[in-house]
Amino acid sequence: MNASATGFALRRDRLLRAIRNPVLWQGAAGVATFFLVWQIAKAIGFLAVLPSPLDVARGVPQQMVQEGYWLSWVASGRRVFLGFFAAAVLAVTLGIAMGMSRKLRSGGFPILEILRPIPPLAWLPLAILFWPSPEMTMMFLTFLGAFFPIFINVLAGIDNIDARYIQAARSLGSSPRTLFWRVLVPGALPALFTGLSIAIGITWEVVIAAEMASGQHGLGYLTWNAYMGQSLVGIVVGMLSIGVAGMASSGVMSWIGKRAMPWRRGH
Amino acid sequence: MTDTTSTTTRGYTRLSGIGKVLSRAGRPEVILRDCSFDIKPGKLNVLIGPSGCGKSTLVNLIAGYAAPSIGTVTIDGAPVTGPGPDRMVVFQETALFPWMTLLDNVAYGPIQAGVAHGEAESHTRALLAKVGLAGFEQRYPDQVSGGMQRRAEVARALINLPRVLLLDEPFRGLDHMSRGLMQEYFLQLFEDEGMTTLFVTSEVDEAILLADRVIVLSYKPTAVKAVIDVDLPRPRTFQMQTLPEFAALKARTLQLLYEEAMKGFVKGTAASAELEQLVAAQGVVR
Repeated sequence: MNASATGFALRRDRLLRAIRNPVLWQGAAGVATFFLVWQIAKAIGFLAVLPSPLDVARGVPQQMVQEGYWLSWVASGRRVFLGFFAAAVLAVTLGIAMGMSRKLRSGGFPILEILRPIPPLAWLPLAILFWPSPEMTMMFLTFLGAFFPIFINVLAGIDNIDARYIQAARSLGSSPRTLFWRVLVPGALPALFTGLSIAIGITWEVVIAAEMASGQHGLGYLTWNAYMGQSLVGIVVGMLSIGVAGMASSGVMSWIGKRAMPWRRGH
Repeated sequence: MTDTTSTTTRGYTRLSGIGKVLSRAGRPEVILRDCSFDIKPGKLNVLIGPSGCGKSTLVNLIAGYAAPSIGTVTIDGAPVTGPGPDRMVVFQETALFPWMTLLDNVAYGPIQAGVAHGEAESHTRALLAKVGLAGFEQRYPDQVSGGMQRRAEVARALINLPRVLLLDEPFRGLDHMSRGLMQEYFLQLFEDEGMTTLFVTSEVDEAILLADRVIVLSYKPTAVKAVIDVDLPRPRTFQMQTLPEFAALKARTLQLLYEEAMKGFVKGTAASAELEQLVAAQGVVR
């Protein structure tokens, strides 16, 4: 009873502090300014093609109740998450393996360097032919988009661990196992999270483009569909939805990063 | 840690005929040539030399991070073949693991050596308290000052009861005030524990204040130029820096060092002229 009351007080304090934080209000003011400038530009006759923010705001409820809107979030989110997750697992494994073994690196790195500059969308024709369903095609593309930034950053993270940490660990009598888990892994973690947050951004870019090209459902498909149906408000709502989805993904990523690396709070 | 008699006879380190060639910008360079000296057990041995003379290379050889091109390093008769917990290094700047709390950093060595977690933790807490870090056990290195980081790092080394404690310019980068405080802390620690120590520095005042013996190195290829015994009484205090004996030791060391530092400059350059002036200003007899 008492403990939960204290817990409540703590949470309330934290909430109050967050609300009083000027950064929050500065951000909100920035967003408001953006829409205000847009509204004024529209009012004085610029941006004839675009709907005004007020039009969009009025259209939002209607867009959100339309069939398939929330399904689009789920569909895109699923493609992003599964592709990203598979990429993260493989890229971390390969990155660590090549970071530790010179032989593996000299064997595997050149072919990856040839594949890396190929944009994920350039794989689309081949992927459509290869994978049995459009769903798998799109996940394959998000996988490709996420793989390289994670892989490259993990490799760089291991390379750039300060030699003194490894020397100190060896002097302190580390077994290879503890050297790996307690020095190399945490040492490479900041670079891994840099890679992950770049990758999550790229997966959203890729999934939207792929959905516009070949999808069913999904926020990209929704936006394209609005264009085909000549719904200007629908296009803008689709775009803003993609923006919010991307921002939420980055937010989740940095939240996880902060929890995984408590020593970097305040950085 | 508490049994000082056992630490005072351990750690007799001999470097005999050490030569080291390193590749610098693709060209081989002789860093050390026929460099021999002893680290006496239970003594605070200070290594001093002109900057860039290979002091850190010597530390790496004793620590076992690198092998000499020629010559041998032995500790209590056993040749050094690689790094190990019998020689602990305190690095320039800090090499505490940023991702571990001070407690975990210091307890790392004992836990690797198989000491039970509870025992390692209580031992660590006691040692952290001894170096003035009680209450900071759960902080990460980035959350404490530079001086606290150095003390934690000395604790991380000492807890393993190394035969030799190697400190490579450990107080470099600290401001003047913190540096003075760290020297006092370290003196007290040494005078309590009596661990065999090699302390590398490029500061003459620091060398004489701390040392039982000052090993003066020559410019590259580096060898030992002189060994100066510092017979100032212990416990040492800051006030001793005003003693005439201190001044005489300082003048002697400076003279040896300047002769060597000169060789690092091309004769007749602006830098060398500046150094000549500095020597004159210090009142060193030429």
